[in-house]
Amino acid sequence: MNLDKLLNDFQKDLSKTKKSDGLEELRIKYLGRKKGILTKITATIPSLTADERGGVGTKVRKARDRIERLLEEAIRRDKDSREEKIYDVTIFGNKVDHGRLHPISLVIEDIKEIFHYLGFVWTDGPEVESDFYNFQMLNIPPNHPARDTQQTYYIDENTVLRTHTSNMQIRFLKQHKPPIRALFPGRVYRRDMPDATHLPSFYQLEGLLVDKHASMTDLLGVLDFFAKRFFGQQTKVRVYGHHFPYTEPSIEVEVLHPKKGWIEIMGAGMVHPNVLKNVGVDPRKYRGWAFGMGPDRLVMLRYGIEDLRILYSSSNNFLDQF
Amino acid sequence: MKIPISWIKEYVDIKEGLGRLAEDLQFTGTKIEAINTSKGDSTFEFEITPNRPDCLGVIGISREIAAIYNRKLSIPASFSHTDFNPAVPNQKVRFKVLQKELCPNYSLGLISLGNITSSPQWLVERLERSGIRSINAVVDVTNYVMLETGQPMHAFDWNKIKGQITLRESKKDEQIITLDGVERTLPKGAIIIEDEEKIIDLAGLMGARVSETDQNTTTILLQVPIYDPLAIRKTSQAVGLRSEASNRFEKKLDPNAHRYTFERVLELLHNTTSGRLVSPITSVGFPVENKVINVSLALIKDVLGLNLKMGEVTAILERLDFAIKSKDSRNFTLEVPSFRTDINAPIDIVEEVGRLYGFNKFPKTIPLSSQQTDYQGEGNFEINLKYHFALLGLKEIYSSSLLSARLLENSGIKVENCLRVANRLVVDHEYLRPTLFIGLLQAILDNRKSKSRIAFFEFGKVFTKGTQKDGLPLQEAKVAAIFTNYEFRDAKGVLEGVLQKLGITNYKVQASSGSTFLGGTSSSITIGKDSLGIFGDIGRQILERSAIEGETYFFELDLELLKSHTKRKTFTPNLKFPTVKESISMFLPDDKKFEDIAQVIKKSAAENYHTMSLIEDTQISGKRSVLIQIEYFHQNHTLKQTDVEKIRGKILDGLKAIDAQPRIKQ
Repeated sequence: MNLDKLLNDFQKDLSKTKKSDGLEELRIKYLGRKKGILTKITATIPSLTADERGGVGTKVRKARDRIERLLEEAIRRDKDSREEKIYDVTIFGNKVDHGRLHPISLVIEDIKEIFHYLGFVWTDGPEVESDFYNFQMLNIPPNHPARDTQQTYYIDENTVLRTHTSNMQIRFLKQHKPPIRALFPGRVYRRDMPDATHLPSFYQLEGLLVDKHASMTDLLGVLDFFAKRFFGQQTKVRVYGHHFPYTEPSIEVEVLHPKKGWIEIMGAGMVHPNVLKNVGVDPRKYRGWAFGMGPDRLVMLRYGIEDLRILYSSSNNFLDQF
Repeated sequence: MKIPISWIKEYVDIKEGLGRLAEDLQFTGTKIEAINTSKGDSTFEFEITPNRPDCLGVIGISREIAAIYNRKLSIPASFSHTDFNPAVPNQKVRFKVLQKELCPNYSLGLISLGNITSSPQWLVERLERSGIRSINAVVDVTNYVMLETGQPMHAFDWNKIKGQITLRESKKDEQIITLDGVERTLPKGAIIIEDEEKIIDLAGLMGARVSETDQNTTTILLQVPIYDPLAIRKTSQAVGLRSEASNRFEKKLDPNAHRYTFERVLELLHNTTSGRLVSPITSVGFPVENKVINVSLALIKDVLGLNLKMGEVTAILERLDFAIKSKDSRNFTLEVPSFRTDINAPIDIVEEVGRLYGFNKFPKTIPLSSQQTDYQGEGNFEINLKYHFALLGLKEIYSSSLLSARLLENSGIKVENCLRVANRLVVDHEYLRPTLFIGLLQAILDNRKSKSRIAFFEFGKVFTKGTQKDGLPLQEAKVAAIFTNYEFRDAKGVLEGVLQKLGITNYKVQASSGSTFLGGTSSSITIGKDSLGIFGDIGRQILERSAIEGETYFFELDLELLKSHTKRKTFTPNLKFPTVKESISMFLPDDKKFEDIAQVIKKSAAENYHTMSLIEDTQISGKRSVLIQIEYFHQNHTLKQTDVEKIRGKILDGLKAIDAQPRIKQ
C-alpha cells in the first residue's frame, strides 16, 4: 500500500470538500473505526511477514497523524468561516422561576444591618408568654388601664400571646449584664378585628440599649440614623411626647412621607427605672433606651402596599414581586 | 374625646392657627386625631393616653395649652364659690361608705330645681359638638361639667330614695336594672349604692332606673366621688359595660376635683334652672395634701442628654403648675398639683421637662461604643438558611399562626390537641398552629390555578398543648417546605440540599410505622436519638378537601436541632485516578427498600466505593426493578479489570444475600 498516494488522495478529497458534514464523511472514509482506509491498512499489519512489516507501523501512524491534523485544521477553518448568528435582542427572555425571600424577611434584614453598625445583636424568645414577663415586669400591673391599648389574647389567667417583643427586654436583661445593645424581631399578637391595617398576628421589632451613659439625645440620634438609612438620606424625622408604662420619657416617631405626609413609624423612650429594677439592674448606675416598630408597616411603606393582609396571603402574584 | 375649640378659648388665649395648635399639642404629648369644622366652630378629637386623665376635660386641655405657650389659664369662677350658702339648708342626707377604700373622697349635697326642665341652646350645642345628646337640664349639666372638669358624677332623684344611703361592695349575683333598661347581674366586688329598700346605683358605671331623674324631679342628690379605679375597671369588664364615666373613674382622677365639680354643677343649675342648694355640701377626704418630690438637676441632664440650667428647668415646671418649694444649685423640691396623679417619681419630672422643652429641639448624638460588637454567627443562622431555601427554588411565605378549627380539621389535624386562646375574637383566629403545614397547604391552595411546579417554605414557631418547666407551653421554631407538581425525588432532593448545606450527613430517613397528620406516606428524619423532623406526601383525602390536584410533598424540620447538628464542611479534592462506572439492574424483594441495597453496595465496595445513583426505578411484571449506577475508585492507582471484577463479585454476593436479584452476568 502506497501511503504517499493515500495522503495525496486525501488532500484531493479535502480540497473538494466544502461543507462541515463532508469533513465528517471524509474522516469516516479514512479513519472510520470499521471501514476506514487507514484502519483497514492497520488491521493488515499483524498478517505481514517480519520483513514486510519493517517500519510500516510507524509510517501508518505518521500518515494517521497527518490526516488528523489536516482534518482538524479544515474543521477550524470551516468554523471560522461560518457566519455569526444575529439575535433579536428585543425578544422576551424565558421566565426563570426562582426562589425568593418574603419582603418581611428582607426588611427585617435591612433593619438588622443598619443597627449592626451600631453594635446591636439580635435574638427572639417565646410568643406564648407569661403575663408577668409581658406586662408586670414592664411596669404594667394587672388591670392597669394601659392594657387597653394592647388588646390581649389569653391562654389562661397567667399566660398571654405576647403583645409586643418587649418581653425580650426582660428575658435578655436577665441573661446578659449591661452594657447591652440588642434587637428583638418577632411575631406578636393583638386581639383586633382583622382589616387593612390590623391582624391578630404580625411582626414587631424592638431595640434596647442599657449602659452607664444613655440619653434621650442618643436615642434621637440613633432613630434619625436609622430613618435616614432605611428611608433615604433626605428623610425628615420628628418626635412627640407619648406614654408607654415601660419608658419614661416616652415618645412617638414620625417620618415625612412624600405622599402621605407625617406618618408614625415607632414608639420609643428611656427605659423606666422600675423595669431596670425588676430585672436586677441598678437604675442609679445604668440607664437605657428602647424603641419598637412594625416591620410589616415598613414593608407597606417601602413598597406602597395598602392592605396588611396581602403580606400574609402567599399568592405568587405578591411573592414574585420581591 | 371631642371638644369644640370655642370652649377651650374661653379658658385660655389662643393666637395660633388650628394646625399649629394641633401640632404644638401633639409634640407635648396630647395627640389630635381629627379636626372637624362646621358652622363657624371646630372640634378637636383628642387621643388622651391613659396616664393623663387630667386631660379628659376642657380645663385640662386648656391648662396644657397655657403651659405650652406660657399663658394665663382662666377657668370658671366656681373655684372660689365655697361661699355659695343656701338660705336655709333644711334637709339632711345620711350617706355611709362601708368600705372606705372603694370611695375615699367625695362631695355630695341636695339641689332643688326650678321649674325649667330643658337646657339653654348654647349648652345643648356644646354637648352636641362634644358628641353628647341633650336629655334634660340635670343630666345635661352633669355631662357638661364632666366634659369641663373631667370628673364624672351622678344625680339621683331625691324623692325616689328612702332613708339611709349606703355605699358598699356588691355580693355575687346581686341584680340591678340600669338606666338603659338592662337587668344586670353583678359580680362580687362591684361598687353599689343602696337606700333602705333597693340598689340605686351601679357606682361609676351607670345609675339604677329606680332613682333616675325625670321631668317630675324637683330635688336631686348630687354625688361627686373618687372611686377605686381597679374596682370600676374590673366591674366594667365583668358586666361588659363602658361609659364616659367609667372610662374616667378607672383612671387616677384628681382627688381634689370633686368639691369644685359639685360647686360648678350647682352654679350652672342655678343659672339655667334657678336651682339652689338645700343641704350642706358634704366633702369627705378633702382636701388631699399634694405630693412633694425631690429631684436632682443631674438626673434631668443625664437622662435627657441636655446641658440645662436650674433656672430653665424650674421655669418649665412652673408653667405646668408645679410649685418649686426650694432649690439649690444641684437639687430642687417641688409640689405636684393634685390633678397630676401620674407624677410620682423624679423620672416623671424628667419627662415633663423634656416634652415642654421640645424633643425636636434636642441635639442628635450617636452613643459611644462601650464594647466590641458580638459576632452574629448564630444570629444569622436563620437568614442564611432562608437564603439557601431560596437558592433551591422555594419562595418564602409568612402565614397566620392563629388558625380556625375548620382549617385545622381540613388539614387533618385534631383541634383537641391544639393550644387555644381563651378569648377568641373571631373563629378564624382561635388555635395556635401545631405545625407550619396548614399555612403552607393554604399557600398551595391560594395558587392552585397555576399548573407549574410550586414550592414554598416558612420559618416560624409551632405550639404544643401543656406546660413545660418554665410554665409555658412548648413552642419550637421550625422550618417547613411544601411542593406541588414536583417529582417525589426532586422534593427529597431539596431536603437533602438543605441538610448538605448545613454539613449534616449522618441523618436517617425512615418510613414511619404509624400514620401521621400528612395522611400519605410519611417518614421521620433522625440523627441518633434526635428527631429532626418529618417528610412525606400529602394524603388524597386532604388534597381533595383542599381541591389540590397535583402530588404534594411536605417536610418540616426543627430549627434548633438543625443548628446544633450543623457541621463545618471540609473540601474533598478531585480524585487522582479515574473512576470506573458500572450499572447494575436488579429486582427488589417486597420487604426491601432502596436503602437496604445502597447499604450492601457501600459495604461491599468498601474503600473502593465512590458514588452511586439511581437511574431507573420501575415495575417489571409486578416486580420492582431498579437500575443503579455505581462508581468505584482507588486512591493510589487506576483500577484494573480484575480489581473491578472482584468488587463487583462482592457486591453481587451481598445483594443476593438480601434476596435482591441482580440481572448481570458474572
